Amino acid sequence: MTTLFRLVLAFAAAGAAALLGAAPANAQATAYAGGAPVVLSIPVTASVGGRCGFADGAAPSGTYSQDDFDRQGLSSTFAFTLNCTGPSRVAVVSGNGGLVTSGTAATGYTARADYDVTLNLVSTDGKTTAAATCAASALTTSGACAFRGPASTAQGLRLGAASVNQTGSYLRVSAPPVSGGSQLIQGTYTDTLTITLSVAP
Amino acid sequence: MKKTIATILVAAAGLAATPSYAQSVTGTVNVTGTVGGRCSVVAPGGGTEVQTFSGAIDLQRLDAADGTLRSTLVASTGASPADSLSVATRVMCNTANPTVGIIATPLNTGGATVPGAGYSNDINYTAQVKVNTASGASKTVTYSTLVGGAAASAQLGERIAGGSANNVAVSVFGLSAKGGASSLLAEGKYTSVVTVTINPTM
Repeated sequence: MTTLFRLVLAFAAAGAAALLGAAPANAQATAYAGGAPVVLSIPVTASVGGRCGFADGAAPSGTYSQDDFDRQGLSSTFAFTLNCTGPSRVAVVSGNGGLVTSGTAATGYTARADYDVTLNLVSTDGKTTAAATCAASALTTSGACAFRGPASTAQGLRLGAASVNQTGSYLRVSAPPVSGGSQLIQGTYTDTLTITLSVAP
Repeated sequence: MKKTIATILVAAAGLAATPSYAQSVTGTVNVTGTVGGRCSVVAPGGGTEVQTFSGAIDLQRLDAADGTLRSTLVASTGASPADSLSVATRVMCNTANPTVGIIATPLNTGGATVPGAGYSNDINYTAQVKVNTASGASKTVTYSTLVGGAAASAQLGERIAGGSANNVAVSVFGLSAKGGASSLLAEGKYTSVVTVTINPTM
């Protein structure tokens, strides 16, 4: 009986440390020391956190290349599939804050072209959606866009319902042909969009 | 008691398998585009790009009271072109070092008839194209119809001036009657063509 008592106390200490912050449940153990009953109350708790990720093989990924985009404009859609058991947030960071080429642009010229980034998120039942558009220039890490990344529980475009392997979500880049303003210098322009995803309580 | 211990063990194992609450994952999309080198004519202040421009330098009456070529036309210079006339336009080139070329034909009546001795219906001149550059300087390329031959051309050495103002001006100067300054100009309508080519130098 003495041996058994030591075991119970050992698990009680370990459980209190490991289960901190989880929803409470109650278990009760009774032990005897020297013939006097001792009642031990041991909280037993557990929780299942929100699982959130992109579905296998369905993360937003790819490369879009458009020649003469200053004349042709930009338009490309990258579909992805969420796999989140609860609300989620998706956020985007533009590495360059627009399409950028190397070289110095003299007065009247520019080496940077802005474009729009649209996020569209769809829940499992399709009844809940979230959509927003921002200029790439507002998607730098210090940008003002509401879904500027990286995603966190408080940052990013929020989808207020689960989306488990639901198709229909996408990221779209777009821009009309350039009209007016500074002239884009000749060159190859690049940008990288990094899309991050987080659970959103 | 044994049951109580078992319950605690299961709860601890379940918590260890729970994913982080703030779990995040990442995707990457690369966006690439090109802007091809080109030169276009765009009206000051904006508008549709076109590939040609035209204009007229009308010198009006060429002859002086004595029937010879007007002295002001003879004395005109690159800095002070004939009758201070020019054709201006706005050319947009998005390359670093465009090439400018110019060629012209003499002013003449176009007829096959050769006037008699002491008369002329053929006037040479120098055509020039002045291009403003991005640094605020300018580059001038000239072509003499007297010398003739292939078009004259030169690279700007820098970008053509940006902005919405005209940056190219074409004019003529240094007119001279074939046959000499004392030649009397034959009656007729004198015409010529100055052709300017600006390319992006790919």
